[in-house]
Amino acid sequence: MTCNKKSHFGAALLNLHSGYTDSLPGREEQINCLKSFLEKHTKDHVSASMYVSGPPGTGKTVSLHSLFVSDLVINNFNVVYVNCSMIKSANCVYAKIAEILKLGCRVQRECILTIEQYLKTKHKSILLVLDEIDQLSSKNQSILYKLFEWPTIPQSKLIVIGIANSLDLTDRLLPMLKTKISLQPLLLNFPPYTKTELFNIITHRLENAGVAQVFPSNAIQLLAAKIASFRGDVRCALDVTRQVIEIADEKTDKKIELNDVIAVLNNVYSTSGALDINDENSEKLPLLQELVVCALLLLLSSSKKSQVITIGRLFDVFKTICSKRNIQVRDLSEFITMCSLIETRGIIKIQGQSMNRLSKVILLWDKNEVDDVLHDKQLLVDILNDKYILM
Amino acid sequence: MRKSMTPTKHCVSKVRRSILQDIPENKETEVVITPKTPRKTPKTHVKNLIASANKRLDSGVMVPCSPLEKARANLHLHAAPKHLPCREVEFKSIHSFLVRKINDELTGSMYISGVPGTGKTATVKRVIDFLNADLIMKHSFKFIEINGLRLANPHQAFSVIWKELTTETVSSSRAQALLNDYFSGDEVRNLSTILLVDEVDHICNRKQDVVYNILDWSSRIGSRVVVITIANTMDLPERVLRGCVTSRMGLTRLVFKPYTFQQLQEIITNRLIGNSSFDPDAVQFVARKVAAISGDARRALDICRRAIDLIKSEDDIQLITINHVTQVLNSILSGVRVTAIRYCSLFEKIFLKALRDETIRTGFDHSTIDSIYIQMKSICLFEGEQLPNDQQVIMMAYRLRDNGLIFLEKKRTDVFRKVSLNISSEDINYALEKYNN
Repeated sequence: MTCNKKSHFGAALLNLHSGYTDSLPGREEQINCLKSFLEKHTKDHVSASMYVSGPPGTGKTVSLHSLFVSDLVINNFNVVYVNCSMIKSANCVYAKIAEILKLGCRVQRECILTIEQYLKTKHKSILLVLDEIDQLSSKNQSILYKLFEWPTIPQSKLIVIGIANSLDLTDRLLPMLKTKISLQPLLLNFPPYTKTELFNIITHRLENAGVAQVFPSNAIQLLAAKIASFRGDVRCALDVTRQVIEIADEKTDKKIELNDVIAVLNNVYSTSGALDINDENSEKLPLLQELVVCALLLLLSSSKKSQVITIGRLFDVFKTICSKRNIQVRDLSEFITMCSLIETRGIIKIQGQSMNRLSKVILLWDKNEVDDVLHDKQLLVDILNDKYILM
Repeated sequence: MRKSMTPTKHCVSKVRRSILQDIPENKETEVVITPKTPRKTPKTHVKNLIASANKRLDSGVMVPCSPLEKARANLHLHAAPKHLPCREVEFKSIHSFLVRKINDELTGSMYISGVPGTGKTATVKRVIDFLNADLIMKHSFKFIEINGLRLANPHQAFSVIWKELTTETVSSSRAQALLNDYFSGDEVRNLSTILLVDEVDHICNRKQDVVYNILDWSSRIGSRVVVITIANTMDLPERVLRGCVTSRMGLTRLVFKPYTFQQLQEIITNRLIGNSSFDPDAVQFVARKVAAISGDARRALDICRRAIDLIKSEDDIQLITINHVTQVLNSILSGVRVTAIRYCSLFEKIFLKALRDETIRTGFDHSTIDSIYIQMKSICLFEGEQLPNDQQVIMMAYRLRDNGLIFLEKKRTDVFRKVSLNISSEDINYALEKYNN
């Protein structure tokens, strides 16, 4: 066993980690936009607010963090960064801000007053960044309104930047902000990474690690194209790249081939893939669970669209099928356990908190996908053609 | 400052200290029993089990165990072997994942899914035991385990983790802040932390901030946290978790497939090596039965144990055959509902009969207490019983509802309340036929 010895691609794996950021290719436009926004407001000491949106893994937080260490921010701003997912409840956000500003107060109401008092007095400009801001939404959105109203306090010299995933959070949750021009936050959207951007990121990081020649460029291109078409999440892309490298690391010649990339991608992106990864001979679903799915297919094929299928109805059909094939019929509770096992595979969904005879059953997968899972085709055909079961 | 100047020395001293800590104080007594880890090894547990079985068998006097007793102890869940059969591939992939992360001083996260009783947690524990057996590896990581079902609320996870890390007890919100600082990645940790989050779907609250926090530590590069999350649902990240949590969870996934009957057979026979109290056919029968329903290894072992219990209560046969196993299976599967109907009072039975007849007559799933009452009237006439009054019928409906045999409409309480069956009409037929005979 090779213990305590860094693997061949150790540097590459470190460079491909999503937490490792030295430069952000493909996000220059957004960073420039943020920079000019900050510059404009530092020059004339005006308060403003901004809302940054974008799907997960598009570099929102990282772009802002890269600005935190720039001279512009260090010289002019007192940075307050709060990740709203990391505080206990929405109300704690004031206490957290006060703690970072070193205002020394605990109680929520006191905190609000102290912070507002602080904003009115003379102080260094504040850059307040709130990550995952959608966590702060409450019934009347008082917290969000308050935070976005702070910049209107005269002499506050405060810049509020909110980060979240949804594009229209300010329109949806905070419609009242539109009433005043000065309240309206500037919107900045981070689009998902495109194919070329992902390609640039991966090659850039591999070059940093000095292993760019091991990874063929067509393999990277395939990987980037596939991820970009799916959701353009850079964490995803880096994760897949890491997995490919880990596979290559276990080989003797340490070479990455196109096939490895395809194998990892197939493994990652397929719903039924997890059931039949690479062994054909193993049973895919236990037999009785297969019969349940068959019964559901049979019911779906014969029923009208609007008709709901309850567990009781499914159980009756299942019992008929079983008795025709001379399989011991089981109790309803046993049947419900079996249904919940199928549910964990994501094939069906059972509605309702307590599962009983009246709970509705919904087929989640496409019928063709289900066909792939059922390995005994003959049985399936027999059951589906047997119209007497439903009588 | 001093820490950054002499990092290697610090490491070494820490390692040495932790080695010293592992050696117990009173060598004469402790060393013999626990070879390396302070944790209870399965072997001692089996010994305890056998001992307790002996005590029960013959109070006071220690007699040698019968093969059946031995088999029973071996089939207990806690007597799991050091090496899990039929999970070699999964073992290897988890092991190589962990070793790579520890050696490269990286962070990572892995999601393991699979139906209950497929050995998810057991395999991870075996990997950790295996790593602990390696002296150099042992001191390069710290293993922390939390179970979503054992927590009073999701936020408690933080205080549990912090307690494991530092043995301090603090409130959950304080622990959250401390942990976020600890794993912030600003200063590089010199130990990897392996965090096993079992039943992760139970710490997914509405805000999902607990899962978010835990997975976010693994995205900070210096924290050296490796998070292994376990749940039953295969598509939990897509179905339940929010986008930003799924994105942090990554794509390293492992699915434990349900055991096939060959594998179950191997597991049971593996535990019965050197013990001939089970007929191979009986083992195969259990394996096939369980594999057809769920592929749950726990279930298979339970059935085997119950077969032994059954034999013990009967007489001193020493071989468990297919007949015994069939008996156990039948007793498990014979249906609580049918039994429940059989123990109903006479009029409750008539009530159920009336409800069944009414649903057959109208073709709807549900009927009202009023129409059931009319139906009961005719049944009572037919059977020569005196008809109870309507208030009594309503009381009966409540009792049956509490038994879980019927449903009652929630909004109304009068005689036009809707009633529907929670059992199939065949169950009623079956139960009442037997009763009449």
